[in-house]
Amino acid sequence: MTRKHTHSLASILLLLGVAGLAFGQTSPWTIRVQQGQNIQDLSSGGTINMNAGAVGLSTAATLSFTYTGASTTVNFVDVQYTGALDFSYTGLPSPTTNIEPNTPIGMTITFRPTTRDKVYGKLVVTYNEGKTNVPVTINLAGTAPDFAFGYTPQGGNATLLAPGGLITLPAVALDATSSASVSIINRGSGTGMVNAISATGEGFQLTGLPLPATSVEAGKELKFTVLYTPKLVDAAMGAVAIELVDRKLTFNLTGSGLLAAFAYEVVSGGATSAIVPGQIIAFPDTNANESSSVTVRVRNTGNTPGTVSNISIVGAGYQIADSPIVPLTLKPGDSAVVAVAFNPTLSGTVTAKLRIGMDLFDLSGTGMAAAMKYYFEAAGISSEVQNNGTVVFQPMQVGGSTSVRILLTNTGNLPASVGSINLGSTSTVFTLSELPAFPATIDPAATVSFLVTFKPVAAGASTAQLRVNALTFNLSASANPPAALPDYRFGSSSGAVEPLQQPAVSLELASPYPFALTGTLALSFNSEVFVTDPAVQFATGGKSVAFSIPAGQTKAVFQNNDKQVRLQTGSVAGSIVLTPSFVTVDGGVNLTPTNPQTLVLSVAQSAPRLMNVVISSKTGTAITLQITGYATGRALTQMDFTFTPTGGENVSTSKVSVPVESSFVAWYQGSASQSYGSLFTATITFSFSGDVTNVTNLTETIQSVSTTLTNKLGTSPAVSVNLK
Amino acid sequence: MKRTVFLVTFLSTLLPLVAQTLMPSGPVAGFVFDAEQRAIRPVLGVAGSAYAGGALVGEVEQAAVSPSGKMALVVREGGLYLIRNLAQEAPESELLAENAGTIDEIVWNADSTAAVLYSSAAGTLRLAGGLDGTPNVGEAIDATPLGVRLSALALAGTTTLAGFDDGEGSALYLVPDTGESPRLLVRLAMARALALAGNGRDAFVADGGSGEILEIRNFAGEFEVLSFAGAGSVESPVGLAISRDGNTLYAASATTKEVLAFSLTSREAAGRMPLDFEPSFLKPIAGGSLFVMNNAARGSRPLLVLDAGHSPGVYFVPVSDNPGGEQ
Repeated sequence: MTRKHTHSLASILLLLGVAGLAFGQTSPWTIRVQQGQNIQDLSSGGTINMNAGAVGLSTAATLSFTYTGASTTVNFVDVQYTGALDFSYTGLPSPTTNIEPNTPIGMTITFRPTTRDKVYGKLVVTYNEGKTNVPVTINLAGTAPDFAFGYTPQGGNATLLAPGGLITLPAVALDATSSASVSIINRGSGTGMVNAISATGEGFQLTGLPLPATSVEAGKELKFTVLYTPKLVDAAMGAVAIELVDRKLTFNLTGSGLLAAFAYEVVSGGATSAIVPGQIIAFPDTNANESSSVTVRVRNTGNTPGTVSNISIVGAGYQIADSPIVPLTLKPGDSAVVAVAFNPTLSGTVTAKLRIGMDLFDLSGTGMAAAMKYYFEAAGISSEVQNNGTVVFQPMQVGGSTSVRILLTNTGNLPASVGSINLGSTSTVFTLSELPAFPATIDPAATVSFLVTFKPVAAGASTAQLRVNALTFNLSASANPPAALPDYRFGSSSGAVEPLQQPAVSLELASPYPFALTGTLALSFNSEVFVTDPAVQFATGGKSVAFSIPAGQTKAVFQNNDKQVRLQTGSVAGSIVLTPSFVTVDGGVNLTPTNPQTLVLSVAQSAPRLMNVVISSKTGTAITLQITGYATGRALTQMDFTFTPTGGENVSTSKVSVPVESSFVAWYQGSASQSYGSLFTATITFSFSGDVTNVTNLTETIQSVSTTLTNKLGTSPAVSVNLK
Repeated sequence: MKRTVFLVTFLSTLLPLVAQTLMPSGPVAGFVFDAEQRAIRPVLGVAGSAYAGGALVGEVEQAAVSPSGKMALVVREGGLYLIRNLAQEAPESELLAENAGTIDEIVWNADSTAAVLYSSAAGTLRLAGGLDGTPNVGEAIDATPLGVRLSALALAGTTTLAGFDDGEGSALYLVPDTGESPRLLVRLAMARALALAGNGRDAFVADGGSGEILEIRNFAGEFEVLSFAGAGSVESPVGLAISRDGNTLYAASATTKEVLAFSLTSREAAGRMPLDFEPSFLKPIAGGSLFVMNNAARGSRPLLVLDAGHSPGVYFVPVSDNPGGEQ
């Protein structure tokens, strides 16, 4: 706005204007202008440029007029100002005041802009130098900065900002950085100054800041950048402060984070439960070789689409049964499901990891199955054996036995069933014992055992296969040759024995044998007369008798725990041969020597023996004698009878010899006699004739009868029978 | 006047007759009832060289052979039979009583003419007489009033001597064949063995409680009871037997495993025979002087017999299913 002042000093301005001309020639005035620390001389018609710090903010210039002319009567006539009202002045003396030469006269011009535009003014100071009025013209030019603000978000458009306005930074992923460029535009006419720029608010930073007190020329702009690095999804607030010369402006800042957040749920058995990465997804107990499944639902609960780049399982026992195709982008609120199958093959806990994107979950399930482990115990040492593995026995002497205990342990969590335990093929050296009743049920953590016994019958290696259900274990054993049987002896000596005896025989080893033995003592009879004697047998009946010799002992034990056995020597001449045989109880190894020692009992052929004579019948005229005896040679030639008369009686023929050879040849050669050896019973009847003296009948005359038997080897002792 | 007796033998004068007369045979020591084989078997040979022969009569539940060795009473399928000609090739049998019931004990008299039968199931005694001629079986006599368990039994002629255990001990009764009531002879703690003396009038009974042997003289008449061997003479007696010559009484003791001999003449102990087994009884083997002392177990335990003849001793007799053969 331009205005025209009418002042008493108008004449002075006129003078000045004139003076200006004069100055152009020979001006008697020195005009010095000082703005701040800046001092400059000014000629009339010169211009004082005044730049305010801001619209409305005053700035002053001090003018110093010093008259250097020769006139002594100089005074200011008028000061006249024209131009923008933003200028004002003070300080010149009144026109009546004489101006002393070389004495500075001060004047102050103040510029207080009301607009950002450049404004002008003219100050004409007219003075009088005694004759004429001379103008001195001083031009004034005023400028002022005027800042405007705007910002341009990253990837966005420029937006003007009013003081207190909001700078919205683009949302960005957490920990990423978004930015906005802030412009300070000097749209005024003079240079402005920005003193400082600062920012507050978490996550907000400034970059590209100017130095403090940076001048911004008119029409120029100053830029800096606001950065935002979100730590949270939620919007964050901050502020940026710009300190100008005249004021401090604040602009609000806001920014937010972007996050694709995945939430998870487990759907199992109709129940849904939330789960977070790192937690365990539990599967129901599942029988081995069967399957169970769990569905995992993943949902994007964030504010930006998220991508699941992969879905996988790390570990065995689990499989992805169903899943979306990856990479899978889930918009906020969208979800997808992943089905995981649990396929245990063994008993026990099975763990793995499920990876969905960057998230890991522990998978845990229990396989339900019986799990059998097999051990064998030998010599106090337990060893595990696998299917088709080998069970090794301690080496054993033939005749001995060694056992290993097979243990079937169920380490699983379901009962196991054992339907069969057997040897792969019939074995003569391996036997099973203490077997459980089939089918046998083995509860979890329980053990069933049985014995496998190795009883070698020959030296060398032996193998067999042990089958437990469908499993096979190899049995391997070796046997050393059996210890030789110690010498043995009988409890009686070989030699002659009497017929009709019942001697006892015992059998004893010279030293203990380490293994239990059993055996048979066999009796044979070698008749000297070609006919055997069935009475020659053991007391227990028959011609063989079993015995046993406990391990580590020497004496044979017969029936009824007797240490001896009796036999009958019979009535026939011959040799009774006792031959033992020995076998081991375990394995049945025959230890009988090739030429076993025998006990030979000999019954010799001898003269007949008369055992008994009885009167089987007696009449008045005859008596019948029953004679029992034997002849080991099965031969009898004669019987002799001697009759002793009763006292007072006389017997004309007291001795009677009866040849009996033919009768006994017939008897002994007949089959009937063979049941009796050489034993016989014969009856003979004697008839008497004649007269009696003191008795009533003929047979009463005989007191007794003495009998003998004779063969080629001799005559038996007499046996007498009393007829009374 | 003195007369001369001329001795003539058929052998020396009549050869054919002599050959027939002298024909030897095999001695048979007696007959036993083999409960395992359910048969009557002969004991072939003599003591010391004998063995059980093949079955003469089989398929019988109970049997007893007469002292003569010629007859036997057997129970077969509930019927009581008399077997004659036992030792012959073709024994004959005669049914004496159908439905004779269970017979536990059969005891013959000495002359093989009668036998007494005891049934524990029926609690009866029954006499079978005329066995050497026309057999007859008498009415059963209720013996239950006498006691609950028969502990000793003997038959003298047709008079029965029976010992019974009752609730208070034992008693020995005489049971006449006349139908009269049994007559108490003597009470004992435990009547365990009974033997008839050779005269058939006297008896000996052993008391298992006191170990005493009592002699009952003239048991059929005015009897008297004497102590033959004092208390403690024989422990746990299980059998009494009279020697063939009638001079010795043998008593078998189970606990001391021995056979004690007592002289019937001096009434003193005459010796003892130790045993290596525990005797169960003394039962005469028909036809001889042998007494069986136990039940044989085939293949393990022989028959054990006491020879009460001229040379007393204890012998075994092998018993097998295959007499005389290989075992």
